[in-house]
Amino acid sequence: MSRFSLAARAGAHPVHLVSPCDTCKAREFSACAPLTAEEQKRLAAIMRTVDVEPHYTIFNEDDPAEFVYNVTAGTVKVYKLLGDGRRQITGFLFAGDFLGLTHNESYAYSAEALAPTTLCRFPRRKLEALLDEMPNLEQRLLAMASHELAAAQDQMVLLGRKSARERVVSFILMLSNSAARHGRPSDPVFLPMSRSDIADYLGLTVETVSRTLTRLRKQGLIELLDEKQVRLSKQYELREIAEGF
Amino acid sequence: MAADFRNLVADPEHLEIEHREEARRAAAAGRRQRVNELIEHHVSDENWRVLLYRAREAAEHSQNEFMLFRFPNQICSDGGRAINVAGPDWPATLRGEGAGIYLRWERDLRARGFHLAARVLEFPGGMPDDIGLFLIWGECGGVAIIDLDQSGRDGPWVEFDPAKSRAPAMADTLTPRFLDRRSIDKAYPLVRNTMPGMTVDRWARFVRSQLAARSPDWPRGMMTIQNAAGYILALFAFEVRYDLHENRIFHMDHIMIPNLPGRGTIWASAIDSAEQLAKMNGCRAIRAELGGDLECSDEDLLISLERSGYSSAGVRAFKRLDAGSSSADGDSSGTVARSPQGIYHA
Repeated sequence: MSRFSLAARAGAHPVHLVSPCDTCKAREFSACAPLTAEEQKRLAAIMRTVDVEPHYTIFNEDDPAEFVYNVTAGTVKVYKLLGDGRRQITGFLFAGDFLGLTHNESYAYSAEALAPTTLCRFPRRKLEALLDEMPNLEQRLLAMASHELAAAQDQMVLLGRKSARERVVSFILMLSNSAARHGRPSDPVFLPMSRSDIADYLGLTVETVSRTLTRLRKQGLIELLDEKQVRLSKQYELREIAEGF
Repeated sequence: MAADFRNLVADPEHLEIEHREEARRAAAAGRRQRVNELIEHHVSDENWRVLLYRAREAAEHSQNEFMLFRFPNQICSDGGRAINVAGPDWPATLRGEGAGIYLRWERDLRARGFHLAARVLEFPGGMPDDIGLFLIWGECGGVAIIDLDQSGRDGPWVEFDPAKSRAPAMADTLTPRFLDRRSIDKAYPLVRNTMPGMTVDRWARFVRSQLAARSPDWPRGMMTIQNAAGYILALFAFEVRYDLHENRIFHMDHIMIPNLPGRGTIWASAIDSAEQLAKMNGCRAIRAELGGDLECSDEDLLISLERSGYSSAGVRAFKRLDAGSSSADGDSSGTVARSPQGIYHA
């Protein structure tokens, strides 16, 4: 190959600095998806990628809210500690979801990684300044982002279900829908959280959650592939249960 | 035997599916042909004059806008995606007749204050379908209008109200919906987000009283702003009140808007929906009450209100009455909140 053709190729494909966004698997399904190259560059300039291990506390309730995060891989649970020392899980966040949005100067809840998790971390002030400057970017983030507020609203809907059976089935279907929205397989459903996390989230005891899952399995409605994977064997019947029939 | 019976049932079903499939194929072929024609075709002077004549007729019938052109989304080079998300580069995706109309508008009408908007008209199966190009001359009060003139450099309409040119751009994803009894719990996380410590019981009591039956002439209730997935991003309480000066006045308070990216847009959408609701109820003015539920630092909301034509009006005073002490002189513990945390009025 001659030098000339090399030069021509370099001209046709200018060399980019490799940005973490270029290789991000969550990008297509997260808030950044509809961003232009320029917008993405501005965002990447204030962003740092953070990898955390399972059980790592990303922030604690009442910590100063300095950062906003975008989950790009893994699972995060958000929870509040109640006055009597109990823990109420208020939501689970997955790749593509926003984390750390708060009305106040401090975080209103704690966040902990459930699995190996990758986060894009934005200094809150810088992000706000950038959004002020780029209203289009703000609108796009809003249109795409799902966040802890949405997760908490899902939970309120689940808690409105009466029986343990309705709650557990609704929860599995909710995870399935959310997976589909984020471009992951919707069946089998991946349950990265422990039975006790599910119990905390649904306001049930661990025993009830386990018993309910076993009963659903015995009835042939679901198949437990392993600890963390559930196949929806009879989708129609499951939806009927979730609707309270 | 049973299988034979099943076949009897299955056969007509199968036939019907085939019929539908055939109809769908024919429609798709027709659509493809129309797309090709429209991409090739450009609007003639004569057609343009006819369109403007019809637009004028629409204005004479008190319409604020007129649909110049309806076309399949495939006419856009990106299938209508930029229009659906109100991307600033949407005009570049127009082809054929759509592009022709855009250029005519830009040449002849833009400088005269007319706006051009594009909207996805239908979403069969959740996917964008036909798109309409609208010529707009009235004030943009509709939440469903996407303002595509985002550069907003010329035209009195944008100068008049910069906040509004942002709100409608998100219109396809932000929808105002009344809060009903079934959604009381669902709205609670938002309430807790803006008012940490508020219990679900207190919240439910408040909403129930707000939704309690009242004379249909003097409605009150709760309005939410929801995104496409149905999550509640903002809410406020409203009430149509009798006012000595304004006759019917639209009052809004308990405004709750969390700190999300796009907060300004959510707020603009809430202001828009309040204005529509007020107009629908024959109100001559809107009174928006900030403070109390909002942080004092919420300057951005106040600025946004001012941009939407609100101005500070009146002073709001507040005094907590302790159950035990009955002091009659009453001037010691009362606090007076002055503008800009006062009552905003449009």
